[in-house]
Amino acid sequence: MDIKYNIYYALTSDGPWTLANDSPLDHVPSGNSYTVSGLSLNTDYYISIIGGIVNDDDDFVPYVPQFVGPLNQEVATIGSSVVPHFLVRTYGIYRTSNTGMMHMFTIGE
Amino acid sequence: MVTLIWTITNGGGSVAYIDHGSIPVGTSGTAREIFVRHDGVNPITNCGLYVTDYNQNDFIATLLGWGDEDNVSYFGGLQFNLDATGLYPTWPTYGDKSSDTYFVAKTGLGDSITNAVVLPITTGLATSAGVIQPGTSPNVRFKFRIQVPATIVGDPGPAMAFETRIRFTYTS
Repeated sequence: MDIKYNIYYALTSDGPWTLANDSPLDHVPSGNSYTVSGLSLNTDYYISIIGGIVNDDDDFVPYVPQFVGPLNQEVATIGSSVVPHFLVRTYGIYRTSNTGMMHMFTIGE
Repeated sequence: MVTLIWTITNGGGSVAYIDHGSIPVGTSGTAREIFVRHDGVNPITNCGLYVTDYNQNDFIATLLGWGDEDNVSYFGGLQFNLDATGLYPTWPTYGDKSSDTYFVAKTGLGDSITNAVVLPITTGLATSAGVIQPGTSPNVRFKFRIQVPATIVGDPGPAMAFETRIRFTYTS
């Protein structure tokens, strides 16, 4: 069983949470990124990344209960007698934003 | 939540707008240095410059059209010089509209949030393109000027307004 990840986003820490990826993501080295599409500008989002596995029924099974309290970029390692695995659980606020400076001028002769 | 702070002096107070005054046809206005910082505790990433309408007055279409022009008489527009660390040696021209360190806003380049031009390290970034560290000093900075073409097509109107923006992402 391969370790997979799901990314969720929400407008409030209480949810509702929306799954960002079409299917569970493979493990990627630290520093890689995944682009979450469909977010609105100037909006604060809560992002949660949950590690888990895909079982024989193709269901995603998270290692931990989802969305339990604010954890700020916590990375934990847990063990298993069956398959060594680890957990990445990130809980942060992500903003897709823009802000500007107004300019004005007139055309001279 | 993090706020982007635009200023006209390093570390100065926030400035909401710049009046570039009256710019004669066929000339460029005074290049203004713009400083940017933010108040987040973490870096902001994916920082990219683009221009857009101000208050939906639609002058931006005319201004981007000036940048599109390949004819010297009609060329102009909103020009960014991103080589702060090199002391801003070179500006775009009608025949050389962009490089790693300068560009004129035109169709497909700096004209929308998706076509934003990622800030290069030469704007004073500490490490990586598009990443503004918290509390950066001196601030990330660039110069900006407006070139009015020698030949104006139509009547663009009296005072023209638009907005420069930086899109960014922030994770707490």
